[in-house]
Amino acid sequence: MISVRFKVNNEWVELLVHPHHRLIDILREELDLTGAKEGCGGGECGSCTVIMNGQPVNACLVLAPEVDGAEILTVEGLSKDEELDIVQEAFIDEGALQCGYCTPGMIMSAKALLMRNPNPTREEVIEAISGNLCRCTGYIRIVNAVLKAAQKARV
Amino acid sequence: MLTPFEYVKARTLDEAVMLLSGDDRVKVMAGGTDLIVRIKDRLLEPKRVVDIKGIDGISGITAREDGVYIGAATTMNEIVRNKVIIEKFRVLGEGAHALGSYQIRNRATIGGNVCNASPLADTAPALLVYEAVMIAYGPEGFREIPATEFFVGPGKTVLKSNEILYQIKLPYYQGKAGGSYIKFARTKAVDLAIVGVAALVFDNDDVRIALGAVAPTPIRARKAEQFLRGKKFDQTIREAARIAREECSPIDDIRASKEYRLDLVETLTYRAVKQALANL
Repeated sequence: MISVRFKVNNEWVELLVHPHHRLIDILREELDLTGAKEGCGGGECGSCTVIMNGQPVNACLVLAPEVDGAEILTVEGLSKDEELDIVQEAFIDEGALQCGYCTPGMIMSAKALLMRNPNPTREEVIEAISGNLCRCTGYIRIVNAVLKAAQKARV
Repeated sequence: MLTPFEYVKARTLDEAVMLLSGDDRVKVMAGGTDLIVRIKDRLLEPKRVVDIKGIDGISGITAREDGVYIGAATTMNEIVRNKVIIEKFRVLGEGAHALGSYQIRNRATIGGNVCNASPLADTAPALLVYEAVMIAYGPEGFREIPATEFFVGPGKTVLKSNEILYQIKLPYYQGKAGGSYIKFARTKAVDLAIVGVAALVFDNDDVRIALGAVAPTPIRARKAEQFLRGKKFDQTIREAARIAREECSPIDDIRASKEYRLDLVETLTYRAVKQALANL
């Protein structure tokens, strides 16, 4: 076991982790943060996307020992008190989800995009979520939601 | 869940080489985007994984007098965003950008991409046309390997099992150059190349063309280059593209047939050279 200390949703945590466990395993099994889902487990579907040190990553492709010292933001860390994040609100307003399995990852990719580019074009949104698969919506409402969130953030 | 292994983070090159100890069940990890998938799919069962990201000088891009040095653990997104790459080595930026998704490009490294030695590695054709130099470290110290001699076969490089790739040097070139990388895949993003073509043309009439996914390794199309040198007109580019087709040896696989790949090499070589000229 390896001792790691890292920040999750703004709180420091210390854990003993197995070297062969991944970030997705410790988020879900140790920390009860089950927003991020394991879909393909190979970095193709993006349903495990979380933000690590300000950048979106596939939590299924990060080994647990690698998070030592890192700052992780998951979908659970987006809302403040009882208030949803602007991206979450926009997904609800635009009806940008159906089954919801891809949604936490999709929202984290969208959030990361707006963090680095508060004013994205439609094409930039499409590129930013190209690593997140959704089998329900056909993506149009998701793209609309991200653009709406960007617009709302500017007001 | 993955099968158990030991994880060690190397702090220095010497420590990494010692930890590798020439044992092929010890695996080097940088971004992990290929390695972890292979462990999960049980294609590999390492007993130890050596993380090399923390080694001094192995991440980041530094412009020096004789060229640009890219650390082996530099991520695709760092390469895509880098100013010197955008201005002087755009083919490499295009290759890095063509790989995986945004999330993958935050983790995947150039060293990992080339050391896995897939014939379709998106950064390999660019390294071939820029005649990059691979700087490896092993028990005997540093050694430099021209990119054109680095790849040996599918999944195989000239690196020994106790050597690691440390940096990649892109030598500066004389005069102006225009370049292009065209990746053809089943989807616009997050897919492996069926064919990848890099073209680099210089204002002194030199031409370099590299092909991915159509031979056991990424290759230079030297006969097509030779034919084009000094005569880059539409008709000669078409003829050079036909010659490039003769220079490769693609296989049938799940993504495309051999015949389709041959047609693609011809079409994409023409387009890549035209685009490179337009970018000159």
